[in-house]
Amino acid sequence: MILFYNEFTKISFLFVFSLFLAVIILFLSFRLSTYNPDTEKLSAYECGFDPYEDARNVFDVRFYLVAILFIIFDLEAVYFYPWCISFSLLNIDGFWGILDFIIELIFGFIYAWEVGALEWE
Amino acid sequence: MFLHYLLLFLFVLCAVFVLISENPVHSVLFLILTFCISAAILFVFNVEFLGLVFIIIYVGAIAILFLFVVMMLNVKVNSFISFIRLPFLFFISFVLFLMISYFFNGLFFYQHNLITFTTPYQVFTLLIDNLTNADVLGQILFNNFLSCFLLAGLILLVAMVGAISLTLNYRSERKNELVIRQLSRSDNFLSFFK
Repeated sequence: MILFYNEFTKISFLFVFSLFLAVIILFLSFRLSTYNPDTEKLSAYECGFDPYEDARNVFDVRFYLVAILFIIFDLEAVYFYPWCISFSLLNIDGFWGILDFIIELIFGFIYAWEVGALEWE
Repeated sequence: MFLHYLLLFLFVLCAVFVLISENPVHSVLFLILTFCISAAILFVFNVEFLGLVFIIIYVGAIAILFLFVVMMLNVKVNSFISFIRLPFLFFISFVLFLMISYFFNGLFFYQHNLITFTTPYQVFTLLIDNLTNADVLGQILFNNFLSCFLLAGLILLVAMVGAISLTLNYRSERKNELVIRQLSRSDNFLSFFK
């Protein structure tokens, strides 16, 4: 705990310092530079015609599938982190448990590969 | 005492800005900031594994899903919160702020030496206890609750199969590019067929 606080106090000082530095740089660049807004300058530059549609549009659901697969693999990676830290203190069941976990992960990955969820037409 | 009050104040402020910002993309960005501040609060209260999970899962993955939802639903810009209800909103958030800060004060009353920057030798339990949060979680999860861990693996497998089978439309022949042909393509590829 003492080690935790000692290390993270330095990191938090670094965070606060970088926050102040960012605020100072942003403020100075906002104050010192000439600021002369204009309707021609502030309008979005687009050739030919006025924009009549929003920049967002509806797209394919497969982007969402990629994101969901990313979340699932991310969650599986979260489980590996405490296992790696406490590996020397576990008994043999912990080792076989994580091996079973990896095999399930590989099954899911093979399924996604074979079905073609990761491919793009 | 000081640092976590500041973080809680920022947390509630960002949560209010999630509600009152007119552009949905801006409110998603404020949501990401809220997750980051909650991770910092967890770090201050020495729960660093949950803080890491917040940053990895919520900021890294869930926020992307929120952005996708904002993109997919194609929400037009309209403000849900009228400015008449705004003082009510601030009142509710202030009450929540008081409740959360009171709760944290009661729960973590002895772990304040990062927050107050006093000398660590006043609190002798922190000197004895040198296990971090992730250490404790790993030992307990993989020694005592191994069956729950295996069940979590099965649930993740089922989630993966379900997500794929819900969103993917199966087609017998797909128009895929052959990888080796695409890689071996050169400038005079068209003249090869002539």
